[in-house]
Amino acid sequence: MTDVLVSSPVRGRRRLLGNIILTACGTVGGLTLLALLVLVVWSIGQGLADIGGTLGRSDDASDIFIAACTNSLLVSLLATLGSVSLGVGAGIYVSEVIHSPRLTRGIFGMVQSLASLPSVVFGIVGMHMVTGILAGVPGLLAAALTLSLIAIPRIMLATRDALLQVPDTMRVASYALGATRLQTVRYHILPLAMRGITGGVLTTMTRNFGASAPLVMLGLVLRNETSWQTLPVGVMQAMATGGKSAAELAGAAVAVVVMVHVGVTLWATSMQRRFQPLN
Amino acid sequence: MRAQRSETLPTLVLAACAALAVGLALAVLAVVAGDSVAFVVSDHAITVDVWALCRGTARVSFIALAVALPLGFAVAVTMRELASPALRLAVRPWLAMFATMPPIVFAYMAVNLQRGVRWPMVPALTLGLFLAPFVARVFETALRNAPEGMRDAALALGATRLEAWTQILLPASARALASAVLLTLVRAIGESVIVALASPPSGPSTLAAVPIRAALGTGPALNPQDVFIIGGLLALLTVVLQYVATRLFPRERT
Repeated sequence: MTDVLVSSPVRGRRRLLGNIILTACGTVGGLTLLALLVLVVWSIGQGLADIGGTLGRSDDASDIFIAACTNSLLVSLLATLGSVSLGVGAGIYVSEVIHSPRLTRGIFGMVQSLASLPSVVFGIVGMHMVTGILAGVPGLLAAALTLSLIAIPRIMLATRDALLQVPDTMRVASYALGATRLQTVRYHILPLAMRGITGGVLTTMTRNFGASAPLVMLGLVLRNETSWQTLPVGVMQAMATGGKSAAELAGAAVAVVVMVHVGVTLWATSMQRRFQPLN
Repeated sequence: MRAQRSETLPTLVLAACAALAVGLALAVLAVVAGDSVAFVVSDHAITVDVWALCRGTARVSFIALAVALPLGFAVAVTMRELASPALRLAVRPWLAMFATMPPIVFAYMAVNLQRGVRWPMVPALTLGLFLAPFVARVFETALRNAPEGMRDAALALGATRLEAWTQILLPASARALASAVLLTLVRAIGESVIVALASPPSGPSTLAAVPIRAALGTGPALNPQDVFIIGGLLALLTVVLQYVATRLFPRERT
């Protein structure tokens, strides 16, 4: 039977065609991943030299670079403080404590459409804040608040995803033993979901660290301040000005952003893996 | 046995978190919706040609998708069909890392690799490469949702691997794939930094890139009113597309 099938010329041709297409797919896919990897390695390699060059300069490029590094750290830290407890708490409440699946779905639908808004739009919302209710607030705080607005929906979704990965049998078993909703969350679900939540929070934080579009928009309304100028903003401004010193500054800042992103994201995804299917 | 503790306080704290987060979300949506309404009804004379920006956005998104979809699909097929489970597990975090890479990195590479010359196609092509890992990820999730048993049955009945793909896997995950394409389109329309930095100063721009170029001083100057209106239009587009995408295939994890 198999002999007949294998030796059938039509089938043999189809199998050959399939193998050719699959090989082509594999080649293109592998090359894509390889190209991305090469770009990352190249930007780090070139950037490391640029960091040395920038720090060794006597003009204000090294000052700008160091100021941008501290601004980045401060803004990400403030945005983290503002968004993590709020986002995780809200995510837990909406997905585990609320009794109405309809309300849960509605809220997460809204949150999802918020999370899909382009980052420029959040910058524009930030401009609204700075020209409206937050007039006169220091630029650092305005930047952190803008990034918090982006981070809260993403953290809520990451929390929901982590909670969804916990098998339902855990909940059912806990309820069967007489635990309340809150006890179930506290003693059975959270311990299992903790790694996933932490991973999601870390991913969101490193996205904040690399965020450029929302912050650069604040520049339209915060003209005489520099405390909101993080590393990515520094890259954009340096690239807009041009010149050798600026190019070196941009390279150095990009290298820092890439290294932080690669390190934190790989660490975070390794934490999120707990209940993931193997296929 | 653990003593029964009052649950009022923790519930209240969690509820307060949720109320505040949802309130903030509603506030953001209200601001954005106000801008969208302003785009539709206001008679404010806008200083840029919005129609030209829409055409620019369509053109750049089209080219970017034409690059990103095949590349991402190839990666997804490789992960699903050719890679061993161990390799798949090893590659997945890297894919997630590439998919969330800050766009500023790609903008920097696009500008630096051109060495002074500015080709008009480069922003769209870079955007395509930037989106490829994202496409690979959503396609991979979409394909993972197709029933494995049907494919095994087809193979057992004598279908070749290609036939199993074209007749079982792709039709079974068609909705999910369409939704993934729409999600990619949302990201292509909304991506601003790459187009703003890598495109030639005089060339056509996109809706998302024009505010950035105004803020950096490399493009036409805009007053805040113009920026709000462009933001409103952008938000309207992306929210509608995202809504259609989630109706097509409600995904729990992106």
